[in-house]
Amino acid sequence: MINFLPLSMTLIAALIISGCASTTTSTAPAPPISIDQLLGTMPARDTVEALWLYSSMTRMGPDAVMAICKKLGPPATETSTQAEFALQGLASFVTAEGRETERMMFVGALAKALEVARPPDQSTFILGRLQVAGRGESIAPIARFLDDERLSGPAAQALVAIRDGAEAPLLAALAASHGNVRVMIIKSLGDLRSPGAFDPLRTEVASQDPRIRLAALYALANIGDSRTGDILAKAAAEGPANERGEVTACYLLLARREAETGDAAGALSIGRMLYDRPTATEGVQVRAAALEVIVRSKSESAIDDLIAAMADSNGQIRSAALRLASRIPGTTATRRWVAATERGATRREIVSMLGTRGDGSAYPAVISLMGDADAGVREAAVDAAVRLKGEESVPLLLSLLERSSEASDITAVRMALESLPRERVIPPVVASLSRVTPAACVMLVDHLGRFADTLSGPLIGLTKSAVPSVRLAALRALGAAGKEADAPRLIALLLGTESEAERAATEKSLVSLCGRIPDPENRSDGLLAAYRAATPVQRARLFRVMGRLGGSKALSLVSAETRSKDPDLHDAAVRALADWPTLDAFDSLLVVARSDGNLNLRVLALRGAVRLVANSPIPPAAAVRYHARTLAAAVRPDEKRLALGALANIRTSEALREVIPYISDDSLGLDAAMAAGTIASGRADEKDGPGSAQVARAFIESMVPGRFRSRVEHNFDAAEGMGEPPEGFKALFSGRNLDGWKGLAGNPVLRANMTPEQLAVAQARADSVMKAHWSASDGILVFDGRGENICTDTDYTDFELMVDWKIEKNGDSGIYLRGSPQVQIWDPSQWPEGSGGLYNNEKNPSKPLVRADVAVGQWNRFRIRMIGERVTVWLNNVMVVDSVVLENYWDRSIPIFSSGQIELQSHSSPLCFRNIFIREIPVRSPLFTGNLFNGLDLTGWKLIDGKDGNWGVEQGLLYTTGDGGGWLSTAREYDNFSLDLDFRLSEGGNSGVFLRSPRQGDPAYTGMEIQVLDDYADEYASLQPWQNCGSIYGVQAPSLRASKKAHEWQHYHIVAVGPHVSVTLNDQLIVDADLTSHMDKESTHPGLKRRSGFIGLQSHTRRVEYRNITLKELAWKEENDTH
Amino acid sequence: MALTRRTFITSALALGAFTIVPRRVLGGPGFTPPSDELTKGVIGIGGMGHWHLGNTGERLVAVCDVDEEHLQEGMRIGGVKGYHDFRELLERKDIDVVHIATPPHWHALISIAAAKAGKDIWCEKPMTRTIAEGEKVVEAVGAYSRMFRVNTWFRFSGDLFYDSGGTARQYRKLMRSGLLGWPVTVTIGAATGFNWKFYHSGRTDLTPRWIPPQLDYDFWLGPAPYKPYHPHRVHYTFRGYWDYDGGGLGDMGQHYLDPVQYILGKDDESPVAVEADAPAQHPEAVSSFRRILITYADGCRVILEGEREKDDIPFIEGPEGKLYKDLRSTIVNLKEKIAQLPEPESVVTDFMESVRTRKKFALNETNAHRSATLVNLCKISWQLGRPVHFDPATQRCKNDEAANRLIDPPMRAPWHLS
Repeated sequence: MINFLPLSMTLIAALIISGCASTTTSTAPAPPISIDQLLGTMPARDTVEALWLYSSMTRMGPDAVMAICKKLGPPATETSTQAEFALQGLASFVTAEGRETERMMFVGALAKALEVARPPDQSTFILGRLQVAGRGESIAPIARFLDDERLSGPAAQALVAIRDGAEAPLLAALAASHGNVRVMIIKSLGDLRSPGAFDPLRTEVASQDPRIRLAALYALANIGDSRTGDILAKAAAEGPANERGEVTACYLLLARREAETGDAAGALSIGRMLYDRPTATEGVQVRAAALEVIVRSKSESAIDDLIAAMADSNGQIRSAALRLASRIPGTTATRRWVAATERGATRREIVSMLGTRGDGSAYPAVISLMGDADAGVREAAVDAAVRLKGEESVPLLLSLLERSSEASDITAVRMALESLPRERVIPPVVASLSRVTPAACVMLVDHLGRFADTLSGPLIGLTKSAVPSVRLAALRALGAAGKEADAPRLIALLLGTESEAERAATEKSLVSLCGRIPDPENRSDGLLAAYRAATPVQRARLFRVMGRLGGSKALSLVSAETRSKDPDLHDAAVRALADWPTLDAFDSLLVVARSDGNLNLRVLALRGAVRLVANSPIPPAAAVRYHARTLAAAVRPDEKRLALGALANIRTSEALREVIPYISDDSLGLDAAMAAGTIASGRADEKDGPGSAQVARAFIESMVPGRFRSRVEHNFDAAEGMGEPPEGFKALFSGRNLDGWKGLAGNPVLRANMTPEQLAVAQARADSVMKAHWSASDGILVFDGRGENICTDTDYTDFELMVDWKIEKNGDSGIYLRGSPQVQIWDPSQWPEGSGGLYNNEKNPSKPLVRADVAVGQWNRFRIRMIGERVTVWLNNVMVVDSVVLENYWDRSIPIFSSGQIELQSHSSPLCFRNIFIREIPVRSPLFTGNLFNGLDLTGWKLIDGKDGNWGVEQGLLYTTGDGGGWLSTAREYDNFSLDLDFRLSEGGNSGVFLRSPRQGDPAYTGMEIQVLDDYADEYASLQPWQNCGSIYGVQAPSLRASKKAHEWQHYHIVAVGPHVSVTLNDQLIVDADLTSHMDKESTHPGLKRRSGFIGLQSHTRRVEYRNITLKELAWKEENDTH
Repeated sequence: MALTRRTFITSALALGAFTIVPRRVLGGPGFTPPSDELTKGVIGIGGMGHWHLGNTGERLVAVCDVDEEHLQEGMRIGGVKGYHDFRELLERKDIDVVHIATPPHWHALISIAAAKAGKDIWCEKPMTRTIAEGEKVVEAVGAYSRMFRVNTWFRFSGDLFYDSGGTARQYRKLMRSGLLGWPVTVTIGAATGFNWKFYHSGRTDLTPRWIPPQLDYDFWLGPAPYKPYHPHRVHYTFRGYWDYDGGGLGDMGQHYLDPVQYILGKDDESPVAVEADAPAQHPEAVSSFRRILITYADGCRVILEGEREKDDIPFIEGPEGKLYKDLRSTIVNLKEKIAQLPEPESVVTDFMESVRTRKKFALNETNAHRSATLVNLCKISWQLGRPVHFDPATQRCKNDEAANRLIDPPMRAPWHLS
């Protein structure tokens, strides 16, 4: 292509100066450029260049246009393509406003060009440009082609597009036409709605050619002549049965045309005929359309038809009537609809419709329906009221809540309130708080809690409510809605409450309320002020909040109290410090770690110090210095291991330097060598050199003492991938051949729907495709960039998969799990979020947490764990997907398939895979819900370490005599569950409920025990609080006494999910524990970290009875699993 | 400005407990438990049709394609009957929902025929190839009281435009609040998540080829002008030709523009002007564009940005503030502020629920027609190489006969709308 840029730019500038819309009469000198040169610059790069090209061409006159037409030649030549661009561009250019002269010139030239005999494709092309630019003047030149078999179609279409003046030539051509041409002319006359075509076409409906019959029916209906009704009636009665549906559609089309042209009576009679005359062959949609025609005909009585339709047995007719209701506006219609709400099965739907219809005169009726006995009608009325009058309706909505505690009413009002602007809603809501029912009050308070910095006064008032649920809601809401000035009141509540739930809510609200104070230094001021007068128990609570808020004043106070003589205070201070949000607590933590008398607290402080440094945004060198101090402060090997582990995560020379001296240490040598190996294999600061693997190997050779070397090397090999599956894994890929793999035969849905024979055929074909593009080469599975996915020939359910992969620049791939896409693999320079994300997820996260890819061309390693529908992905040992639900790509409406093949995705780029290992994870049995005790015998229980006859069943009660020791265990283990049971104690009775216990050791410690005890008995008066009834024995005391006296039945509701254990005794929540905050007791109470075990009942002293023991297993959270 | 429009009100209330009676029990007691299974037929099973064959909530009983090879593949699924002519499939009384996954030049004709036959309709994007086709689909679906959805979902599901960092619902709340001021400009392009020029250019060098025996090419063309066969015109590459679609914009435009109309509260209006900045277009083959500017009567604008791929362009910009990807904004605490705003109207996001309860789907024929109109208007300005001025009420261009001929082009006989 010739480049005319410099010339064209000059000319463009000249054109712009002289005015763009120049005409052929312009006096400007013709540009010194030929039509060939102009064509050479086709297509124009932008609108400015286009303007120049087309205005230059039009100024050259009709000869130039005809010259361009001449260049239309054999397809796919450059000249012809340029001519096509030019003619299309000119057609657009000349049709712009103000270019009528150019347009006339252009279409005149096209008409002349059409006179020349040329191949049909070229004529078609020119007719197409006339379809763009032609008007009346082009009718005759186009009409010449109406009798041409090949060109009549494009000609008729151009005529229809031009419209005005097209009727006559089409009618003239009709007479002599036949076959396809006739169909096309009839159809075109119909498109034009040509009134003159009625008479010529009325006989066509009797044609023997079905195509002509149907085209004529359409044309007549679209023309809309009222006489067509009779023709259609005849066609319906006499025409072929399989064309009746088309006749009905034509009836409806005719009715619409009649309604448009004002023939309401004609439209109405068709509408009534089709509505009242449902035939066996016509579906309900025809009646719905007929009802629409009745409404369209603007018949006064259409409202009657709609109201009558509400009694129709077919729901589609009723819903059509409700939608059509908005077409008949006005208060008269509203009155009729309101009257229809008085009775009938569809009252609720009509009320809803009144809301969407939008006529405010329905409002009084809607308001009174808010008092209806039917909850559905009330719900619809609430919605309609707020639609009709918006915020004006709020006081009335709230007055409903003064009468009702029903969930449906409360929900309806809540949704109405959420749809309104807050500033208008808050005052009436606040004013109503004292009047509404308690359940409604909880909802309203929660609603207010969405709004920060609004008036908190009423909420403070509600914290004194007699209703516990209201108190709790207010305390929750204050977190967002409270102001700084509310802090003292909340602190007082925190110090005063005896309810575990209220304490937790208050703490949380205080943290978020005080957290909004701009200067971090002042956030704990209120807590510090309250501190002096507080009791030790109260001070411990204050510490917990301070520990979340931080600040230097709070830090020095808490640090000081780590030396307190009071053991509880001392304990609380260290715990707060270990949770501190900022690194400035580090020094104080080290002091505790070095010198505290309590071993548990020392470990806690050390862990806190390591965590603080690891979470702080500081440079690696600084982090190494901190960890080095931690390492020095640690006393026991176990403590030092913590710090060595932290150092191993920092892959720098400094970290290595700190670790190396410990390699010669007797008890820490192996840990240090492992840490050093890890650092050496992935040193981030190793810019040059032969690569991390060699560096690490050399290091292991030279530095690690012989006695550790094999262990370190093994660990290193596992990390580097030397072809051996890690323990528990098996290899999916032999490295030598494709055994165990197959081709992809369609997606899982398709496959599931194939017969075995069909599948076998498809699979054979897929296998041959696979073998053509995938190969095993030197331990590497190589894909050549074409073809389909490769798939395991085994299906997997829950599993852990290791796979190394390598891509080229712009490469793209992925791992399909259970036959579904995918764990993403792609070039991070192209897609910066990096690989590993669940790319096809829509609802759940689809991107990796961090980018952990190495440079393209190097090996990456995935570790992918899939359990249930959740997937966790580590890329190069960094977690990039954290237990995310993988959605079902093939069917978004259902969860991921429960099992399926693993696939390596082809994506038109060469790929390499190796070290493909899998470990199958046994599938958990379905969650159990039901009775553990059958009321008849001890079926399902096993006696552990006890004496026979110690346990028995009588009158539906399970009892222990209490003199045989040991315990009764469930048949199987449970991890997460809620457990309900009734128990009754004799005086001084003592038993216990064991959770997650093994059948060895003392289950109170190897698992844990929820105490069952008559703690009113004198003999137990001196027990510690963490020994009382309801405690997690030895771990956490009940927050208040909820137990009843001996001989009364009592009820336990115990929930254990992951580290969260709560105990509700006689409907009072008394323990809400997070076991991870008790990990300091782990050494003496290892059961605290168990995730699974037997449930048991203890036989201790004296008789205790149980009944109604029911268990509901709860969803298992994968992240708690310790595989 | 948008804020003065009637406030949207939340409602999760069912319009009514209406229940569709599946075809096969027609004439029964008139009540079907929601668990009763619906049935579907899929028309066009080559490209996107594969997706529709999968589990969309109905049982597949029929497939239709004018390519015998596609049809044979589809018929391998058990219990499925194959059809060459969609009109025969529509005659079956035991089909509740029809999925349309043909190229766009067929969407309107098949949708209207399905409505006449009493089927509910799940149609691929773009909803229609021209504005007039969209008007007729709206008319037919409304008149015959059918349920209709277009197969795109950003307005009610997932992260807006894949990775804007927020849902359409959040953006709707924000736009309605006026926190960014009004009018606003929305920019969509490679820098904000999608490259509009991606794929689908047509070729200008096609020389006629033999029509493969398994393809009924004349039926495939249907209402489109007859052009000599070349494989690049049909399966998988048809989007590069104006006769059947409109390039990458036709393919993905409604996907990205539909939620924009929703968040701007413009579901019942259309722009007043569209201006495309692009190289001149071939009459058949689509190429690319640099930028398309869409303007509404209130001054709101949408920019389809084909360049500036690496810039950090504000996603939405108003006189009071800017909004970038990941909900970054010049307005402080934006996420918290959004959380406190009034909730938009709740919508039905499960098409099977629509079919059963006769409540309109979140993306139905009326709002989808408005968003398809954006795409189709952009195509007109792009094809003509000049700005077009549109009247949202009459849905025709002002003083531009050539543009109006693209709004309502005649179809090849015997096919006709209505």
